[in-house]
Amino acid sequence: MIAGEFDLSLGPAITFNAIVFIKVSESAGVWVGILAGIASGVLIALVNGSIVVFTKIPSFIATLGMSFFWAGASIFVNGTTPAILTTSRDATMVFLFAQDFGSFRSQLVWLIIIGVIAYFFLHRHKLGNHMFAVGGNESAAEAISINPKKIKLVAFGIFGGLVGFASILIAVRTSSMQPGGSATQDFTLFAIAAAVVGGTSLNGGRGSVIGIIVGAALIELIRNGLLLGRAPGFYITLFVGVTIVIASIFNKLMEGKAR
Amino acid sequence: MSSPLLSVKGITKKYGPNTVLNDVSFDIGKNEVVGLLGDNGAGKSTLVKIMSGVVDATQGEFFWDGKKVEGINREKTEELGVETIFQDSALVPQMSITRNIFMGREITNKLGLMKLKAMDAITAQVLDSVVTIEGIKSPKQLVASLSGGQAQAVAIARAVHFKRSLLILDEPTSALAVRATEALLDYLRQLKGEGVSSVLVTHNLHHAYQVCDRHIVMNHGRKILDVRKEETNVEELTAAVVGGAEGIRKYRESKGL
Repeated sequence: MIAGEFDLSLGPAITFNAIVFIKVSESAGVWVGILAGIASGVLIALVNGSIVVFTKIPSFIATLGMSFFWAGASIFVNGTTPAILTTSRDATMVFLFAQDFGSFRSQLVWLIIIGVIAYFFLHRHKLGNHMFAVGGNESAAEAISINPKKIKLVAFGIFGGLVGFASILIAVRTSSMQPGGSATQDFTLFAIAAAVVGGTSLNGGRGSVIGIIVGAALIELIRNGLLLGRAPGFYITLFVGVTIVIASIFNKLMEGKAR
Repeated sequence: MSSPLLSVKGITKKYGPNTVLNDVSFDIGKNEVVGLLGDNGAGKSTLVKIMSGVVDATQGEFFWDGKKVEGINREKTEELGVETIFQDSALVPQMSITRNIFMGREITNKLGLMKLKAMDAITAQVLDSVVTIEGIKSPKQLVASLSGGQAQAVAIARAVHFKRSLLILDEPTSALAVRATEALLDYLRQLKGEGVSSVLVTHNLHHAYQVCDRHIVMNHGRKILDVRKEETNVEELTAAVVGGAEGIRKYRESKGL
């Protein structure tokens, strides 16, 4: 989003990646499964990214269309029955992705590791800087001979790898994945909400790793609060929807102030 | 005499049946400020895009320092040191001055991580010495918080710092207030002292006349006038911009030339 594009096929892509991970793990072991899951994520994002970058179709419509495609593709490769982790869900896999350490789980360790790497990449590395530049003012970046197409594809690729990784975390936690994408469709909304609540601009060029983590934590916190308070399920989507709109209004006001 | 910095010969550009540029040739000397004038649709912007390597000419030759350059493109012009500052789009507003100055040319360690402190220090120095820009508090300031004039000045400072040899400014004054325009024209005068040639593209010939050593006037895709400042005046330039070749003839007739 910082580079000025977003991917609405996130949810169905999670389903697809998780199914790839589960199937490959079952037949070829955990490690190959991990690689396959991440590779699947990168590949999906690169396909989506190439469509956006080379045809110059807005990412909104291109990835919205692709989200239906990937949802269908997950049924195509797996049929309509859920893919289930059985024998391959061994101690190693659980330790890596879903171990309960009492006060925290392995997922938190991954969040910290990836958060730190992402921080240095986005805010300290020159490629991260180029992403802000392309998202903020594409023609200015191009005039100084940064290639916006390349930068956007790199951004899509990294995004895809992270989605692939997230798919693995989700698959190991729940042990199964229902094809068709309906099980993971809310993740698209949650991911964009977390970014926007964390101060990422929908127009590109502004955002931060810390903001995004805080945004995600905030949404999860309230989501859990609603669950524990036995609120009906639709309250959550209702709440997230309102949050996106309010956060966008705040972003808009702040951008207006900066000018 | 040494060869000019840039020569273009016989540049023609066709978009389908339309000829946008018709056999245009001119030189830009070293340390020279050249005004590229003309009304809207005269072909100025297409010429700028060709000179900066963004658009290919249908026909024509390109010489740099007397040597022919084949297949001009954005990478080649970058290498030669051509920098184009397009109106309103030179900088990224959401980024700091430092990050804008070093955009695409970051100082990094072996891992590619930026040395932000070193970059801030150099930026502070650049803002202090290369072009004096009033009212900038810190290199960390966001470009969005600068005025139009200050932002243009930062873009110019960037070109000077990286020793660009030819600076093309596309309509730099059109969005500026009177005072900011004066300041910008001052920077252009300072640039000559730094060994940078510049092309000022504008339809405001009063601005051009104040700073340019030479004036090229375009009309309907043709070059109709190419004169040194001493050989012309605002009236003749006005006649050329407004009336084309016919305008120049009438003006000279009326003066008995």
